Amino acid sequence: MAGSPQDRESKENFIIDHMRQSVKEEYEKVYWRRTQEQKKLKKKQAVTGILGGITFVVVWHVLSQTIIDKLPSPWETVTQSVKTVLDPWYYKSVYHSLYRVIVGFCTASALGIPLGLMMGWNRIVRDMTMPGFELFRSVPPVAWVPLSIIIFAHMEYSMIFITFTGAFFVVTLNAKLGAESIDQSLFRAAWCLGGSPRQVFRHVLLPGSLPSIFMGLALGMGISWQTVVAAEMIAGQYGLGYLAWESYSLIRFPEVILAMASIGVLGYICSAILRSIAGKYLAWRKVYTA
Amino acid sequence: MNSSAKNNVTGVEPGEMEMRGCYYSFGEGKEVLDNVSFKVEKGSFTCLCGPSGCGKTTIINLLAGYTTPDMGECLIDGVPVQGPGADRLVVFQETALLPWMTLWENTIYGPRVQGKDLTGEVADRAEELINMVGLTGFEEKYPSQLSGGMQRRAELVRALINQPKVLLMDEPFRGLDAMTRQIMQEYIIQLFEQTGTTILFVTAELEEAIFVGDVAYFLTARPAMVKKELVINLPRPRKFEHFSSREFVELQREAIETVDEEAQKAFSAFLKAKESKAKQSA
Repeated sequence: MAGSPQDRESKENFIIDHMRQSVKEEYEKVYWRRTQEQKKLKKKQAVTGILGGITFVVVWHVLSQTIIDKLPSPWETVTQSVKTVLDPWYYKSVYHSLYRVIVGFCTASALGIPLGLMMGWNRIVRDMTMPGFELFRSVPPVAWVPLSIIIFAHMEYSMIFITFTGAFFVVTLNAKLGAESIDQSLFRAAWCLGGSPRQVFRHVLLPGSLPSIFMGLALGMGISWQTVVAAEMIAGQYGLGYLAWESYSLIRFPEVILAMASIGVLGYICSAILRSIAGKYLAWRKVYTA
Repeated sequence: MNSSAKNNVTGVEPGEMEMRGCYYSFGEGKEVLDNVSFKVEKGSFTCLCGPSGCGKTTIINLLAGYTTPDMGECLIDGVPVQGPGADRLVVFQETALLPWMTLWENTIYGPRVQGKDLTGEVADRAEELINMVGLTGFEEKYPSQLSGGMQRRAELVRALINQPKVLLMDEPFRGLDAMTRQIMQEYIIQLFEQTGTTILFVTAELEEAIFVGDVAYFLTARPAMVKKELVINLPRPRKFEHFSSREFVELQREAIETVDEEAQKAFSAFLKAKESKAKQSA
């Protein structure tokens, strides 16, 4: 079959096409298998997660019936919780806690981020503020409770102030750390190319500090929730911390657990929102880790 | 290179640079430069070679205007240097692309902060330069997604788009592997031959200097002075064949002899210092 050159060429073309086709098919097969495996893995993870949850509930139930007989059983908790959740009074508690955390946290961020950046950027600001920060950051936020009650006439303000102090120090110091961690050569490059101080601040200092800033915000959010609950237990009117404490006084133990769970869920939602914002602004970094 | 004509890529006339009798020290007994004089001709590719730690980076800093000499002066187009300026851009050893900006944003960063119109001419020139260094198609990538060599090329583009009269390069290919380095040499030669910008290129590698440059100045060990001026008469455009040419090998031998002497000196000085230190402590 040693035919003419055209014959050979067409034969070669045929073989090449065939090879291409088979390679493509092979790739598709592999890809399909991979996605299938991933789906299986996800299913498996979900099943293990559910199993873990069931184990937790069973252990809880057994404990409540045997060793710790004061502990309300899961069923009791759920039925009582459903009643409470349907009561508008519960939402007043949620609203108050959330309000205090958000106002305190946002004020802390609005003041702390610029201050921290300035501390990392300007030697004079840093030297002026650092001694005070070193002193006050080791004071636990809860230790501010008595003072804040004295300072503020309105209980509401003192509680917001406590959540503010909880977040403020962490946010500020992390922003400062972020500003300091930026490679000096980046500043030099931006200066060299003609950037004004304002532009260098916006294009180098701020984006370069963002990873650390978001770290500080996440920590600050956690501390804000801790402090708001403590403050409400001590000085509160309304609020989830107050609900937990009051339910204890009224011997309504299922509601104590409900209040705890509510704090957990709200804290988680706040962190998730923060994480999604961070993901949007740190896209360049995600690429890096991927 | 015929460089008197205005170049169509950089759109600016290249400058010339001179260092006249410069002295510099970090303090007593720490003299770095000892009467250094040399000239970088208009539109030439000049290399600066010397043993490590001899003060090459100091020379770059002086010419860039980051520091001032104790004595002597640096001239750009006959005018004394007074502080940093956008007419001389420095490409440093370490990568300084902004990690949160894409390659394109990094490239046009200079014109952007200088408040120039980014659509017409600047965009065209950016595209052309990016194409010249083979980065077309990577405009939307972040620096961390580029290889080391690609980052260095992106930095070249970011400097060149500002139409500097002089490009100062401080060991820009240090730390790259041999193969990437070779590719980078090819790119810098291409860029130089197409743009005709004046380049002062600091390197510790002799072969590199001979391969890319028109003139190479060899510095002595610290305190540095110009020991030898080597004119490299290899034809342009430079190609890798030149590596094996007779002229190249001869230049290489000459360079090695010059540097070897200095390296020996530096080494023996180092040994002596060590000995005296040991004696002192004993």
